[in-house]
Amino acid sequence: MARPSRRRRQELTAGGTPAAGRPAPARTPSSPTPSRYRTQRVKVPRPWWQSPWAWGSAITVVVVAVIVVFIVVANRPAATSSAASNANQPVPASVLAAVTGVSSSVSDTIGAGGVSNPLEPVSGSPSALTGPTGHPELFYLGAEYCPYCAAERWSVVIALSRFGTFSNLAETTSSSSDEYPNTHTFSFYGASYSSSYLDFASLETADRSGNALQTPTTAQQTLINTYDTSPYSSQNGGIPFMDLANSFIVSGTAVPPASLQGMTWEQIAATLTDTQSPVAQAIIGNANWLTAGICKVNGGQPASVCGSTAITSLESQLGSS
Amino acid sequence: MPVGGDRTVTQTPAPSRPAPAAADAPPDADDVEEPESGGAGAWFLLALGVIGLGVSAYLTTLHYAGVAAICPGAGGVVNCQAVLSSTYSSVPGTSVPVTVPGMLWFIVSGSLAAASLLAARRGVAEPTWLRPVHLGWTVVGLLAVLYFVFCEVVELHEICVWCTSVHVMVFLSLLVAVARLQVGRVPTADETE
Repeated sequence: MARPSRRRRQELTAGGTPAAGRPAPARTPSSPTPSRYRTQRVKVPRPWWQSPWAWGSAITVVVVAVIVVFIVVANRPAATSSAASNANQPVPASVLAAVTGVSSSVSDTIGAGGVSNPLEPVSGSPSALTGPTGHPELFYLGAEYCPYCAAERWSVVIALSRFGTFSNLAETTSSSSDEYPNTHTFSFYGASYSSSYLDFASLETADRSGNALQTPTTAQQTLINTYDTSPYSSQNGGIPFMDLANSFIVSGTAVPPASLQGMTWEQIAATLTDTQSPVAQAIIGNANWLTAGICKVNGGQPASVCGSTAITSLESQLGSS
Repeated sequence: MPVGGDRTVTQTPAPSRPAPAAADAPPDADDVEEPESGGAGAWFLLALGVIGLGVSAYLTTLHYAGVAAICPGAGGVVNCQAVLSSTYSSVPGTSVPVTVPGMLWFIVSGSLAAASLLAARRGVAEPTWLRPVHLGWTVVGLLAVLYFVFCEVVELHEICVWCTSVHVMVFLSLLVAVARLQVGRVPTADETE
């Protein structure tokens, strides 16, 4: 039960008489208040704008309006944030189809494609790196400005597309002021990957202008500190860097970014059916090595991928960790 | 004996009714009943505090474990990993995930609600400053929520389901805090009949 106000409690304590200074109920001089009159406390109807519903509705309307403004600003064509790359656009369907649909015959024909084994076995038998679904995890560290990362991503997308599906993959170009400027590539920033055989964790630290994008978690930083260094990497914290289930480390790229100079996404994608193309040989050969490594750590699943001629051959050449 | 003459009827004069006292005058501060302690609102705020603390603790654990969060409904604009690993997921200038201040926020909010419930259990009035302070705390929380929603929608163009659930809980806490403050201040006046 609500407690009476301080003034009311004082009145009751004083015997029910009005507190000093407070006007008594009006009464006629000749007729003292009969005993049947009672003074009681009643609730005064509050104005409608003071009701909880009014306040709650007003607050809700304001918050919703603010969020709508955010959405409008975000969807304006000219509104690009400092944290997002201006070149990032969704990958055209034709390009996506080309990189995710490299035929097994082309893959087998190219094989290693003249690419040396990029997978360095991890020594010491550390515990396996697994992802949120419990599958072996491929951790990727790169940046959108990096031309070597730009070249490597073509192989990564091809390899991972054999085990799962990318969503929200965007296209971008490497920095215009770095070596091998404007190398056409993809960005893993904002993309997601789903697979029944593999987990993929990507970290794009900066956009093509060098603006910060993502920061590593504590565990990811530990991986970087442990493996993105000698003897696995020639440069501490160098990019691109990949850790495949703590079994293999990939440092740098086996795809020369110089070979992609002057080529658009469509032009690069178009080479992926030509087994004689040096670009296709480098990209698909590198992808085949990555595929072999994934097959080695996930028990050879799926068989349709890991049982192919080229992959089986490359897998047999991988060192064990 | 007069016949047909004037007749005088004596009637008991109607008792004069004193003017209603102060019914139209605005109540002053002393005419406001002190708020009840506890109540359904306090329980709801406590529940939000517990659930919000749980979600924040879950995300904090995942951050330090380096494990990606399970992301229901991933696809389209929903991308928990992108949001939780972005630069906006850490307190600026530090490597502390923003989920840590989030945990602290829910601990304080839940504690303020628990204080009201404790007063009710003891049969005493809750401190008069409790509800205004709780309202101020939820306003602080909402401002932070609007900042994070800006980061998600405008900067990242992605949203995280877990973050959105926390944002909703903060917003609901604000609404309940406003209602508790309004309901607690019941204007009254004396009326004599």
